[in-house]
Amino acid sequence: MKKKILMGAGFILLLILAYTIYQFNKPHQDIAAATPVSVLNAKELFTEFEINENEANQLYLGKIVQVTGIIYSVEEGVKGDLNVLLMGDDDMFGVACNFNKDQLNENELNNGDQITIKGECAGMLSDVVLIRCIIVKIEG
Amino acid sequence: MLTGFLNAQGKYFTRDGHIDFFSSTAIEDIKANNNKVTCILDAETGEIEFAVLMKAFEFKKALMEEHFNENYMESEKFPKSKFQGKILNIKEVDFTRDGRYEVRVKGFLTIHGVSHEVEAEGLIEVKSEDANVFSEFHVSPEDYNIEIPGVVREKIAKELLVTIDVLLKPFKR
Repeated sequence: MKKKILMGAGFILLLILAYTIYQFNKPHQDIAAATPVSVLNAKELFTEFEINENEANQLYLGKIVQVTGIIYSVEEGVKGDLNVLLMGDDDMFGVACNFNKDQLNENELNNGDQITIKGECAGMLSDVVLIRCIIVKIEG
Repeated sequence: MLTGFLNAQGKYFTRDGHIDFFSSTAIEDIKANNNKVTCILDAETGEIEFAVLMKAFEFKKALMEEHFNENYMESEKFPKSKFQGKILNIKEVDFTRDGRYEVRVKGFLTIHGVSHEVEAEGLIEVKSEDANVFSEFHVSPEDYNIEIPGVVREKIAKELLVTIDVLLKPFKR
């Protein structure tokens, strides 16, 4: 009886340890596999933030969104990352999407292309910012 | 909001600035990178502003990023940090002449809802039309009411090294 209890306790401890190690090393959310909280176009997303930033943050901050828009610019960042700007309401600010190095070949993208991307919403500065982006579709 | 400010001459802007912070202790090293910093510089007056989204800091470990946002920075409450200041010796920087110019900046740094006046040294590298701004300085989380629980306190340095690497381009309309 005592042996069984000891084994039981040992097993539970092992589970806790395994869970702790998993948590410590848990990977970032798989954006490709994740269901976005919203599927919309860049102008819509930009407008939501413009009208009520607090409300938009409640809906989108830290969450995955899927956005379709027209590419206004493609720029390499100082650390080799890639920045794609999708047009918002005016021709100055919109939805700024950051892709990690190697996630994307900038030659695939041209200004004026319509693309659909998925990324994590980090909030709004002058643009609505999405990070850890991936490409869903390119319509050149 | 920015439209009026950016329409005049001598303004520089980026939406893709890089800021990272680094903490080194005997237990572990922590680094986080942000590549979506906005920065505006007025080359005439030397006024410079940075705006930073806390949720745009990327950590290698997902759990660390979670603790950073949920426990330490309370990012839902304080989604942004900012610096508003002035390059004190802006007249010494010739934006029409390629070169490296040492600068001193002074202004207010606001993190986690707390503002402090800070002063730092930096470098502006002028290369054809662009201005690359570099700076390194230390920030102490305690100064900004950032509470790090006793259990993990030893894992995080008392002072974090913050690095700025921002490529400013002339704002053209």
